[in-house]
Amino acid sequence: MGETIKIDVNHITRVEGHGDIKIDVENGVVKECKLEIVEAPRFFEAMLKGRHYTEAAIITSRICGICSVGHQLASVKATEDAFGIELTKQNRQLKTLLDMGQYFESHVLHVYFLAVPDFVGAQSVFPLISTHKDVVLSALKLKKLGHDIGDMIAGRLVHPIGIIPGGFTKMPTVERLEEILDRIKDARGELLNGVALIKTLTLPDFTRETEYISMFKKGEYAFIDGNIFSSDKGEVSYKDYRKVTNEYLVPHSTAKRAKFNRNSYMVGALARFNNNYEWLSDTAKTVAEDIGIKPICYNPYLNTVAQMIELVHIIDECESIITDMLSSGLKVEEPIKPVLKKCTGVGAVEVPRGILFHEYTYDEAGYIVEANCVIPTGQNLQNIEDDMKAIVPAALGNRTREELTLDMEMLVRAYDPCISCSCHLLDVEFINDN
Amino acid sequence: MSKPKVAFFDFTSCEGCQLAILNLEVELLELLDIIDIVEFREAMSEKSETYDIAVIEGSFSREKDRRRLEKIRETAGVVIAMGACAHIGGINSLRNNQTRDEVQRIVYPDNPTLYETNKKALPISAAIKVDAFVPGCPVNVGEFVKVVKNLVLGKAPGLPTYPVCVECKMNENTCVYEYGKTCLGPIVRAGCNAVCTSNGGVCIGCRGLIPNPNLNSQKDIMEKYGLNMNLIMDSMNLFMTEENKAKEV
Amino acid sequence: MTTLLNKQTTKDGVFDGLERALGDYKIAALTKREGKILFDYVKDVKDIEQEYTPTVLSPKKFFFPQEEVILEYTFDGKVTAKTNPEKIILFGVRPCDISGIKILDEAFSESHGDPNYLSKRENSIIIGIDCKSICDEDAFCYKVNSQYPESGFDIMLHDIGNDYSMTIISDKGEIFAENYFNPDMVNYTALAKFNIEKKEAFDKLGGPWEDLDNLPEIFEENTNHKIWETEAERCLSCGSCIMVCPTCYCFDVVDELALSMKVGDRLRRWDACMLRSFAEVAGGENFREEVENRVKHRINRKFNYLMKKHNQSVCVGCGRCVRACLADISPVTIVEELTKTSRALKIETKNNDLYLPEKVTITKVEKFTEDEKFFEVEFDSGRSLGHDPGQFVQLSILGIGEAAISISSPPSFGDRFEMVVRAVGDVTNKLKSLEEGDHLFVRGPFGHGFDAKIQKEMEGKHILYIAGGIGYVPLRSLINLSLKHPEKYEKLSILYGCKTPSARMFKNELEYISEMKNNVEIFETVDRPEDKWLQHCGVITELIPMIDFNPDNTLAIICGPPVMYKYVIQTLKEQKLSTKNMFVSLERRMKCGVGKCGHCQIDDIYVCQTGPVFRFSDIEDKEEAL
Repeated sequence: MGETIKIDVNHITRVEGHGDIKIDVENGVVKECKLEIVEAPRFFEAMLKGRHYTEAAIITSRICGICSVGHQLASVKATEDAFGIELTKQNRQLKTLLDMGQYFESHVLHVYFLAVPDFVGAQSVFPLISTHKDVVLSALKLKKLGHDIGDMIAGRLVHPIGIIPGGFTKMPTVERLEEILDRIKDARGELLNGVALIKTLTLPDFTRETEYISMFKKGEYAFIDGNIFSSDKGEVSYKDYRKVTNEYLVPHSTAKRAKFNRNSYMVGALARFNNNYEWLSDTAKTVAEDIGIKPICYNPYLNTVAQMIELVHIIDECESIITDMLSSGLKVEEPIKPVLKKCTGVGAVEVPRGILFHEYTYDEAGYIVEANCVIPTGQNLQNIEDDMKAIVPAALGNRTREELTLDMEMLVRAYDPCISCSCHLLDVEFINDN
Repeated sequence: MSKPKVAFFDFTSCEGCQLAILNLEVELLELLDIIDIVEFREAMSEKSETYDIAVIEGSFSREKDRRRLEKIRETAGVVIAMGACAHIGGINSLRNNQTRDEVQRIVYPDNPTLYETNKKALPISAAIKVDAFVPGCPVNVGEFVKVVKNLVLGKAPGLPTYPVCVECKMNENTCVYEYGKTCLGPIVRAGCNAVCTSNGGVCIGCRGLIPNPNLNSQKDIMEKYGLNMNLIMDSMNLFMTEENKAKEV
Repeated sequence: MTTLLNKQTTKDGVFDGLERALGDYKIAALTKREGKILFDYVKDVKDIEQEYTPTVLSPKKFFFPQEEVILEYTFDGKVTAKTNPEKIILFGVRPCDISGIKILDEAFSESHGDPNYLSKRENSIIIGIDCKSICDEDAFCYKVNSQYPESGFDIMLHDIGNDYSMTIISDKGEIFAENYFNPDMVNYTALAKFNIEKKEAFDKLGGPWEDLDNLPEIFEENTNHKIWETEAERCLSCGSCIMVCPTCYCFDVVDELALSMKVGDRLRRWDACMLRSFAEVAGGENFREEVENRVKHRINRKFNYLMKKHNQSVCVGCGRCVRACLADISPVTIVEELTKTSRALKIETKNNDLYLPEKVTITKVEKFTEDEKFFEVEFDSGRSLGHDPGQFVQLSILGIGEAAISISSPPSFGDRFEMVVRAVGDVTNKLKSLEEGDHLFVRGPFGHGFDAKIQKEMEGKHILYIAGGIGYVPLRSLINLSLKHPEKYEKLSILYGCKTPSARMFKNELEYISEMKNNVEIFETVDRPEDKWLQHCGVITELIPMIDFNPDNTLAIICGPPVMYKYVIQTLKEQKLSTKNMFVSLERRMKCGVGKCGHCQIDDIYVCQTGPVFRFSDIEDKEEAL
């Protein structure tokens, strides 16, 4: 066809972090198709060296504002794993609830504020305030619920305060739990309105066979406990995460890439949906059938839809957890203090954007010797580029430059990337590498 | 009177402060009644060449960002540094306790100088003049709204100059020193409503030092309570490495 | 007012009664919240803690809360005073805190009664529980005798086993006891036994300080004692001691507008004289910058300045500041005995509108300099301000704040009054942009000015008006009054010094005065001359020797920037003028204007009440005056 197109999007909007899209097609030949990460390096792994175990979560929290709950959860999990701390049932429930709060906040932000505007021809959510005021108010209400869950359990949602290795510094009160429970029941209605809106949108029809990686625990839709699962290769122990992620550097990106069975893989809502569909709540499954999405879904643009379905499931989860906590009665539990020793631990947690790993090695006084974080978005980057490389040739001659640019931006947005997070990857040789 | 145009920019940061603004939820809509947000990369695709107030999150840690900061300074009437990173260097400046060489070798051992970075991560005031700041990590959104309101009304920003202890006591907390914990509250600026101590934590100093801290007395007190001095110095460097250097702590 | 009444009731009776009272009152009592013991509202009588543990904050927070809205306003000019009273029972308060409440009752009732505090107190019933022994090692109530309060409560319960003996000292208390507590005849033997055991327990700890009565004198003699320096060295100025104190009541006042910009609140919140910025004025001067002075001031308030007023130690020995202070600064280090005589006080709200301002309209403006603007205003209601020269008003721009501004026009000016404002702070900067026809809000007049007594004293004398810079403005209210009848005085000499000629205030009037003959003369000087300045150059003290005056028949009236006073007064003393014949008008940071919020204190007096006009001999010994 002989098409020549140059696309250069500097600092993609409506994503977290700084990324550039570079596409160079000359005479029908794709010469360049890249997602460049241009985030300033922040050197977290260097900063973590020599810090006390009590500071790990505080510091890693600041890797990213949106994902700060996720980082803190993974961080304390790694420390607990290292020191062999067993959590109580109530503790686990609180951590799950907190994670849920984060999902509310993050998924709602992504769906309504970052992704949906593209589908209704807007540049941001702000014009929607006059055209779709109900939708915006609904989104704000749901976000606030996530926030208040975070406030209740950990003091605040962005850079939480109450999460420490071994437990929490503060317990929620019965009154607050009851109030949140009522609001969760209300949220169901708001959410189903959102689902109805999603059903009216026309989503791009693109599929590419992909490997999906997520957390896995038989019997539950895994969030904070479990092993790793690949849709190609099955279950892998969480301690062997490095065998799955296999990170490598590329020159055009301050963030590393990952691959397991194929050239790339995807993590996130769609991956979880594909791998753990069986354990979604009945309501969530009904909604999925209604929209027309079922595993295995190979369309990355539907990641946003998978997020909505997860939200429906989460409401059910939260309701069941809080009801159980209230009927068992809240116990005042002091956080469990670790017995210091030389050790290494891995914490794996499903955060909204995908599976997150933290690993720490401690010396005998409780100071960090080595630290590693593998970020969900980093794991997605190669997959995004592979999607781009599949879409561009097929689009030549069928899409204008503007349309193709928007397609690319929407693709990146669909993954709900957190680019800041992905830039702290450590290339550390572990002395006792197995 | 037309609404002032406000634009948000981010540099080396976690974007948590901008997220906190978006988390204003319903209040965000009310805020939009008094200001016009013309650029906010995280939430909108629209951009603008002109704006009255620039709100900047993140530290100045790459030389190539200097030009971008200067351009913002040239365009805006008022520049607000939002959050600990922009205000005092924040967590980014923790790395200033090591040399640039060291940190590059640790993080990118195969190619340490692949990615450009300055010797230190600094507050944006190291590159441009700043008119007001909103401290904290993340910022307290109530305080952010208050500062914007005050600037729009022609008042001084109105941040407290007294320490966190005032707010901690108003919340009727027992001082955490009694529990052997290290808290920087007595030398750190209030305005956060003592959120960390009131939630079972300690003050980690994200808001920067008060104008005239009695650092000698603070050291003596911590020794008296048998607190680990190394841990305390470490703690003070989390967010305030650059402030400590300035005050020769 | 009831005199002392003694009754008795069972413990079960008390708790049953409280349970019934829950339907009619909010009940605040000692309770546990998230692991903390504190005074808070309870929904169930079972939540009341039986054992007393000292709390972090005192129960004053129910009558003087950490933060309180005192005014609500809308932008179309509707302003409402808010006092927020509620019917509450405060149950289980201990004698130390009751003594604290007694002090606050007196402080908030003094002169202008504070409507917010008093209305809450009027609507409250305080039921105390007497202490039979010390609560912990940091408390020292017995050293200051605060374990025997004679007011500050309605009913006091004394634990005599299965029963409570009750001491009731108010009608409110009597009625409440009748309705809820099933009172019985008192068993005097049991009560006596209680009191004996109580006395023994406290005497064993040492009893009250021997010099308690003489503490004020002892403090006066020791203003330069080394201990102030050594205590201050450790002080972090963190404010904790003030926050927890039952008898501290200084507050800050701020305006907050809603985001809509259409409605707003004026709030007051706890403030602390120990904080560095407490005595800082908008222009930048800080009248209590050194920590040593702040520590000295705080402790003197408790055992000297206020002790004289309240006839008892204003520190009630609760021990909270001792527990809270990280630097181990404790009042116990300077302690003496005092016998108390106190009167039970009748609480009544006197003036609900104390903080409510009135609307005025600007009738004339004139820009004097870049930062100074002249305003003439009149009340919308048409009333006269009715002021003495030298007084001030509290000027509000709703949503921005309130500032103390001197009145610049003499009282005989009719229904309008004049001010000149320098733009240094939030309010005065906003004022700069206002024009004729705009509205403001005013409270006042306040303060002690050049009242009738002083004006009489001036007659027949040679008056030396000495003004520096913007200090001419408040002085003008008296100058212009005297210029109307110069024949009443031996002579009127005006000395006026400014930085530059263009910085002078009321330039046209100064022209006019210079052309007056007979016994009126004016001398001006500037630091830096500009074109056409033909008069003196130099500091104002250089003008004084140029005046021929007889110190036995002369009064000097001085107003100017803080640094000026010292030198002017010294020069006048060199000319043999007695400090009895010198008057000064002083500036301090002011927030309420009515002697309550504490910011304008000089030692034991409030500038907004005893000043701003002072005879210098009355304050020359006060440490913090100049």
